[in-house]
Amino acid sequence: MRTFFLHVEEKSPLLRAHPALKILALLVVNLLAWILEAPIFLLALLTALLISYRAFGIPLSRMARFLVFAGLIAQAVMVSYLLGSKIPGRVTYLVLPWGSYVTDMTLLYSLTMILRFVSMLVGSTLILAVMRDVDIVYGLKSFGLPYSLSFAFSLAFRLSSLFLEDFKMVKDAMLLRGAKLDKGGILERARNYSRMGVPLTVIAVRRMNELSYVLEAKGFASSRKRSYLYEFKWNSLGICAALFLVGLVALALLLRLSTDLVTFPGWPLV
Amino acid sequence: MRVVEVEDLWWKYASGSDWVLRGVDLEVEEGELLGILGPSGAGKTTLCLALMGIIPNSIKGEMRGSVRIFGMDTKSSQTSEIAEYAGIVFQDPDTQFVTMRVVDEVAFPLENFGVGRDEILRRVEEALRATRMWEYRDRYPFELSGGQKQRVAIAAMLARRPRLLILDEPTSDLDPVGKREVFEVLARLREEHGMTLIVVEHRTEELAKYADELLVLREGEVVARGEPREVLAKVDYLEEIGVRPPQVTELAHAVMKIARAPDGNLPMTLEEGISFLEKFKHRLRPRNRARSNSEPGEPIVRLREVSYVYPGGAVALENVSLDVYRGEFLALIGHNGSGKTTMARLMVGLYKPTSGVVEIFGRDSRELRASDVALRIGYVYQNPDHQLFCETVYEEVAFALRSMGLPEEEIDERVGRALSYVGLEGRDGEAPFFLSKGERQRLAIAVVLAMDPEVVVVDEPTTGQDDLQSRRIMQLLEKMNRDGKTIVVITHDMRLVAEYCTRVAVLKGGRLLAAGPTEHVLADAELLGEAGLEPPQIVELSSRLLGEPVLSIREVEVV
Repeated sequence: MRTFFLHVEEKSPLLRAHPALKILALLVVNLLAWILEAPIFLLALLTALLISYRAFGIPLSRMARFLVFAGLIAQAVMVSYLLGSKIPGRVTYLVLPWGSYVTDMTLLYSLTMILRFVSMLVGSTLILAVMRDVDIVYGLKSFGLPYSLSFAFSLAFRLSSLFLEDFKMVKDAMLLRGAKLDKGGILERARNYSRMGVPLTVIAVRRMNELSYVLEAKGFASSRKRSYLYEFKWNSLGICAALFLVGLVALALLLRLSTDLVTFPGWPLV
Repeated sequence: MRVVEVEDLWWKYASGSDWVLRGVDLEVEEGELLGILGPSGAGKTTLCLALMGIIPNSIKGEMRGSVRIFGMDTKSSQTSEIAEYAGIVFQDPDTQFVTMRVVDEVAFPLENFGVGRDEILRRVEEALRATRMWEYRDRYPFELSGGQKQRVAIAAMLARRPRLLILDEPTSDLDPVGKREVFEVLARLREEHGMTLIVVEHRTEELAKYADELLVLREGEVVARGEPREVLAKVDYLEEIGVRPPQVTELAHAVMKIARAPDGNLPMTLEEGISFLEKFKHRLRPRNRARSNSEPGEPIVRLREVSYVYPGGAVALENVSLDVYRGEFLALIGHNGSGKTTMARLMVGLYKPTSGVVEIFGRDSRELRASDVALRIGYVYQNPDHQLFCETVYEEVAFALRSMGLPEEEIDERVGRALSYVGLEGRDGEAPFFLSKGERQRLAIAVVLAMDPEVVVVDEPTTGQDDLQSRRIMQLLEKMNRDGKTIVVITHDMRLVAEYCTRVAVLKGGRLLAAGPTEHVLADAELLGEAGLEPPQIVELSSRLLGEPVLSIREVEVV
């Protein structure tokens, strides 16, 4: 089954879940990653998400394309904390000329942040891996969003895949004309890539124009009473899953507000 | 009943200074099929947008005159109101998909009009079956071939059962069989549902067969209108404005000119052509056309048992072996999705083979960077917009030359030469994105040409272009070939293949079916049929009339 990002087996239970449950799961994963601060809990969350990948019939190999993003996140977080933070610790490894310093807690905190962002990435890709455009439309609508807005969200996702195709095409065309896009430092690279903005913008504007005509011609009007092809019904398993997810967030919030268990550095590292 | 009434319609876009439509008058009766012809920029798409009410409701500009669809004035009616009675299928099927499943795509307009769920399911099935797309109902639209996508776009309109269906160049991206299939579907719609159809099309062969009436637009004005036989008989005038009549009509017209006989009822279809020309066949003689660089040199690009599998697992090419010889004019032909573009990208080093070897000037392509290959093999994209990114025409052509580190003096000289070669001299300071599509396509060729590569690979250079522009581009490639460049062109236009290419490689489903001289390949009806292609009318006409295949009108001598 083709979803936004991946091919997923039809039998995956998550694929058949109620769209609202998928949206809820997406919110819960990201909320949990924000609420939990203790590295051990974030590690547990990440492990659970990786196990879910497999359990829901999505081969881990499908995640390969996101590893580069995870690597970039880790790199950026580590560099920013090592060079620009002042987190007191038991051991100070380095004091930098501009006043910031690196302690054992700096390292632990950067690791925590890496775990947080990677958990969000893995969690979001897990849910988006089983998300179809109809899930976004029906899911958001279940949360009370107007149909036109829900549809606009799903359309944005769909257009992003077209944009990526255009990006690759334009990049190839530039390489064939001798453009050295990845040459030089960050600023030079940014300048090299900025040239791609011209064709990509022109193509996107033309496409958006055509798309607006198409939507009008297909009778898309937000004021009209519309019907729906799909009817999604909650089953008992879905309701239990939703309650479990809401319960998880409530428990994490409770622990965060009333104990030190899930705050940084948290048990058992103190 | 009168479905469309257009009275003295004038339209000027807010962003432009010229009138795009000038006093257009038009009436279409219920159940009629009206074909609209005209060169690029004649105002055909603008007229379609005006008929749907998108002009003037959603596009800003100045409008004079009136358009009434089923009695509704488009000035006082919303597009969504008109859409209850009329539907439109645009040229590019990709931009028409707003969902991710074929079945959802067809259901989408019905949901918008509040049709009940059971009725939606019934109509979706009916529309998909009518367009022979039912078995693809769960597919992702972008996994479909061009022809299949266009059939889904038609099905989405068909399910709504509009009384008027407007199609703006629905077959420009399709292979010959895909084009025929679309017209067959349209003919069935008319017959079974009594639908009124307005079809904008460059290909006159199909319109001659299916249309009740033809309308020719030029620079926003209606310059001809009437029954197909009457309109297409104006052969000289149509050719002058960039509309090409069917080949049988062209040949019959040439015969009548020589015979100094009145044109009378010129034939429009193959069968009519055969019976019409039967009595003149003693006046027809095949002549050998001197094809450019008919003796090619050594192989310069070699594909050896090459397979290519896309990251998602789709097999694009399977075990293909083909040589490209120095100095030849090679056409890669095949149905939509047969692997032509993949093969071209392997030839220019953009893709590396999954298995097998691609040798480019004697070196394994795996050892070469695409940017290095580009110095010897230029690649012109199907959509020039993917290739142009500078502020001026001059900068566009100079960009690659600067990357090559050439001195400014030489850059200046090469830019001037390339622009003059493609007929864009004096346009140096203009912004590329404000050129017409034909001009942008020629600029994209100039960009490659300035780098002075030995081989130029051109992907679908004539898609969506009128006959005049298509010919201009092909003549440009022919000239480059005569000047010593090796040309590889991908195209669906069998007429152009027949007229310009020296050798043809036929692909089907990622496999190479055959490669050989144009006259052999295009005369092999069985081979073309297997590949889902059709020869130009003249090939079949000459085979049946003269006993030997002739590839183009130019190769028939009328005595």
